[in-house]
Amino acid sequence: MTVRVREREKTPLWRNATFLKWLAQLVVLAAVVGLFVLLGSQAAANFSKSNISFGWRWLSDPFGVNIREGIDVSPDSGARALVVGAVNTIRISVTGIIAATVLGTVIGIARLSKNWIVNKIAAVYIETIRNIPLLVQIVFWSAIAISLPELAADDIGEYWFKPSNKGFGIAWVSWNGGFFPWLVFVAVGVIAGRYVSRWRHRIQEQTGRLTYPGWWWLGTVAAFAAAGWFAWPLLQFLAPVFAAIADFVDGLPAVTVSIVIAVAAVAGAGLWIRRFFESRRTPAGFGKLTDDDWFRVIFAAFAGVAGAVLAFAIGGFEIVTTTGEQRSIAELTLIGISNFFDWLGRSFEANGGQPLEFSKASVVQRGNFINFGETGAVMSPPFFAVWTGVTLYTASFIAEIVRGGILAVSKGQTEAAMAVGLRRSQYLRFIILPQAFRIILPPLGNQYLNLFKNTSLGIAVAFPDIVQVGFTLINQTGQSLPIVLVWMLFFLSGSLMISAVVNYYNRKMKLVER
Amino acid sequence: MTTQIDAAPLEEQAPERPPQGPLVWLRENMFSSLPSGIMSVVAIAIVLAAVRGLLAFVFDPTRRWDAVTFNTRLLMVQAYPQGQSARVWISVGIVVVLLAATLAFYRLGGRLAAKKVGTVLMAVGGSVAVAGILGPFSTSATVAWVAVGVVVLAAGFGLRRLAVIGRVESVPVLGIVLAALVVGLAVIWTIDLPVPAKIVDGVEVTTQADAALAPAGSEQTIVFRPIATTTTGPWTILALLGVAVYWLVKLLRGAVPRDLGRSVLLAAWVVSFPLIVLVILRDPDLDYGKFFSFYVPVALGFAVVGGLALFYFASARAGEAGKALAALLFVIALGSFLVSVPFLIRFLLLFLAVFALAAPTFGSHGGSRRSFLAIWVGLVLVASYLFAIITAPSTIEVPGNFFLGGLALTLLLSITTIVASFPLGVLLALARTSTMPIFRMLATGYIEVVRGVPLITWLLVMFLMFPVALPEGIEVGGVVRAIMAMTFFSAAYLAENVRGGLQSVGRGQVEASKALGMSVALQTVFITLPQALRAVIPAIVGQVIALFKDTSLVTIVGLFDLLHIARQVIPAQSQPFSFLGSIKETLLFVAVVYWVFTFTFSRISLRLEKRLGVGER
Repeated sequence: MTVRVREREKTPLWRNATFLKWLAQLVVLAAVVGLFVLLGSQAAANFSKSNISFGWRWLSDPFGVNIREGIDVSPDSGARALVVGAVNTIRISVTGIIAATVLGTVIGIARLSKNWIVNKIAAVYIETIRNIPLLVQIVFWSAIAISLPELAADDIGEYWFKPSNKGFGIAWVSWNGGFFPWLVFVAVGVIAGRYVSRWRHRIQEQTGRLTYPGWWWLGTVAAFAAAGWFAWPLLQFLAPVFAAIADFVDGLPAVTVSIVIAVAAVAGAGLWIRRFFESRRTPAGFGKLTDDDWFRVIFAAFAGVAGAVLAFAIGGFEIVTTTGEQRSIAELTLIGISNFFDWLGRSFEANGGQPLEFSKASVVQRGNFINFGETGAVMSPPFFAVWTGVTLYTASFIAEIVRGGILAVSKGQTEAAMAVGLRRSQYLRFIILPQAFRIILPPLGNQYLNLFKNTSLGIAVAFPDIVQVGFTLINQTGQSLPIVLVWMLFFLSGSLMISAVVNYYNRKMKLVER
Repeated sequence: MTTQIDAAPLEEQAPERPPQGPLVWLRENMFSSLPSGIMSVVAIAIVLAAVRGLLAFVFDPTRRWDAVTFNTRLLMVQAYPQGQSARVWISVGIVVVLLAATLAFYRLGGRLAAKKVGTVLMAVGGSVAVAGILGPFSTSATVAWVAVGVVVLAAGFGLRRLAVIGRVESVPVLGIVLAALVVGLAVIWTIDLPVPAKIVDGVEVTTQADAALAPAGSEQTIVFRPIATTTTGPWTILALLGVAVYWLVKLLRGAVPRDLGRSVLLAAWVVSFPLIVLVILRDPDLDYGKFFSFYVPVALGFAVVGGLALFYFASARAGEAGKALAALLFVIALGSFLVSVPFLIRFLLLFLAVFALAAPTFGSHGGSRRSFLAIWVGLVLVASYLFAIITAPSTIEVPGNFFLGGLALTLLLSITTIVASFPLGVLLALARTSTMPIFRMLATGYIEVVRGVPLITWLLVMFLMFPVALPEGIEVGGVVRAIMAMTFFSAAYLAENVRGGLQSVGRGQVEASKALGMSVALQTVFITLPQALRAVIPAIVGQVIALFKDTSLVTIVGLFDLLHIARQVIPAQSQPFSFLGSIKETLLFVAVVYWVFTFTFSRISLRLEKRLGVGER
């Protein structure tokens, strides 16, 4: 009997798994690209019929409409209007994130309180607020704010707090000339405070005496702030330095910007690839690279080169400024940087007044109209509606996260803290919260992202955030595609920035595992 | 040596009963220490102020609650014609019947501890009494509130006493539901609600049409009437129907095999939604000539010819030639989108190609082949029928361009979006965890870009840019565009949830399935996905709740959902009654409606989480 041994054949192409996988991927990629091309060409055809062609002229064309609130209520160009909207979004996001964090933490801890009524209040708050759509809440707060009493002749005067249908007048501090030099003092104080508090910590660890490092830190910062309040004119020597930097930047050729960015892109890709190869190196020798790994390396290299090319392409792209000149993007970037240093230089000149000035809100008569005056701060009804809405809403989610984080700290920690004889406030502060923070941080970051994106609901109550301003621009110019791109760029980079900050703290707080 | 313990009677062994009573409870739970006591006092002050403020807000005589009661129909179904309201009631009836049948079939609802029920009753009664004292009521109203509160309080107290002395241990949940139904029916037949009315020469105008025609100077007042008789009747019938179906299913339950019952119920739920929306509410005006000359032959042809073809593709004989043929079919199906072929045929060809590609994997054995073919035939028939009724014009005449609005539209948007985004989300999650780099890159890019930008932006993109990118002659309605935007958005979030589940499936499972010789497709469908999805059910329910709340955003692009009617339509009404500016009342009502839905959902999710034991395994 003979056994026929089939000779090993080479796998035919249609059975080769690698080939089939790549084929499938390329087909899907082609289909996706094809879909976009199809939609895009159709859109282009339709637009050419209605005589709209996409471009970036609207950036410099006059805006023509007043914005209700912001750093510039009558912007001269589309770009400026978008900047005003973006600043409004950022303003509401940052203040909202701070307020929601504080409120959410307090409510989350109250939800765990042994005190029955405190616990129940927190529960009712959470279950009510988070189960009602945010948009309903924002519209409701707006309705409340608008139905407040009007300002009348009797109201003329100064107030700590004055609600009206034109907004809420609030006593506020404003900064003027000396603020930035003073801020430098405070910043130095914060850095010095860290050293002081570390020093006190060391003494406490060595001797066992209570040394109150936290209070010492606060004292140091306060001392620097107090000194800076009077000594800030000393820093005016920085003014010419900044002016010189501005001049230097102004003198650089425009192509420098492109070169710097291109070098950074290529160097970044190179570093990434090197680190990737190093990560595959084991004591047993170099690991085998899969298709996927090669793809990553090639993709990184490609991204680096593409970044460099884009830096030159976009840098050389010329647009018309509001003054009617043709300028390339690289030139405009240089001018922007130079203007920033110029402004910094002027801020350090000694002619400013006190760093901070406190003033009450005032109600004044202008012509026939009674309105809030220049002093203090006025929270407009739309701002109030959006801010209150996103803050209360996000706080209810943060409260649940805080509660979950605290509950996740093992019970033994609490018992040990009790056994050592710590008070409830102490063991919460020194034992539970630091450990809970580690668990809380990632979902907390998600909530920050949600808050940031939810501010866009302001469009429903005419709050001029970037979406509302962009929407106005689309209605004016019909340039939907470029403006949607600007929205995406803004929100994606904002999201990226928030997650970068959260990830940084996350890495810092992570348990060092051995 | 052993120590003999005297067997004392049980009562003597039991530990001393701890002191009880309201004072002890108060001391332990609210005044255990000085700071706690201070906090309690402050908290009580806050609660009293909040309750008083809320009551003052709700019962303020200037509040126009009649804006809500008069416009209930508008809020629920918008402009759905009044003459056709039987369709709405039939739809609600179907849901009630299915709900009752499901409850009875799964024997849901056990018994609750009588003591707990008593405590809840006491709390409710106490709150009502306190609210009666705090609220801005007339003396007689205060007395009525306090009386109702005291009665409920006393009932709760009695139940607690009975429980303490051991006469009643538990109360069946069904009894509570029945009692609630009876109370609810009694309320809608007796309690009066504010309704707007116009007085001309001291005589009230009775019909709406006359009210609209009433002279400008006629006085507009609010009268109190029982809830309009048009809804009391249907609700009573529905409640009785629900109870009847419950008992019927309970009786039949023993006679029907469990598996069969479960399949029937599931199928009924799945079918009910398209049936209600597309057939009952939309009432398509089918062109029977075209239906029998085009749809029926096409559907039957695809079912039979396609079925035979699939039989071939699934058989072992087909081999590699079959695969090549299936791939060719796929290319032809895609190509049909470039030439002018009726849409139905394009889609059915595409379905057939996908089925043909999947046939060797899922339909190669006797049993699985039979169900594979059955699914194919069912899919073709259902898809053709849906296609026929969707393309047919609706007989319901409404002023706007969509036949539903209000709460009905909100529910339609949420359910459709959830159903549509689920497969897309699972696909994206699979692609993102795949080892194939281009799939992973595409999925990651899609998910991150979509999640990084707010939903309102995507809605605006869908409304401003998408129509422009369509070829001439194809128009997509606003509701469909909103559903598409929300589906793409929600799928990205869902994909991240599912990815979490996929990562939680142990490596051993994958390795075991490989050892058994399963292909990647089989392993994904039968091993990885079921476990992954089970692990993330609570997260998915959370996503469903978020989506339900997010549907309110469509008001910004001008769809007439529940919020849009509350925020734009009613506050602008001037005929036949003027509700100008009454936005706070409608918003509060809408908030309560949303709250009831989301709160119920979140409770269900909690129960589900406990039953699945997620996080405990």
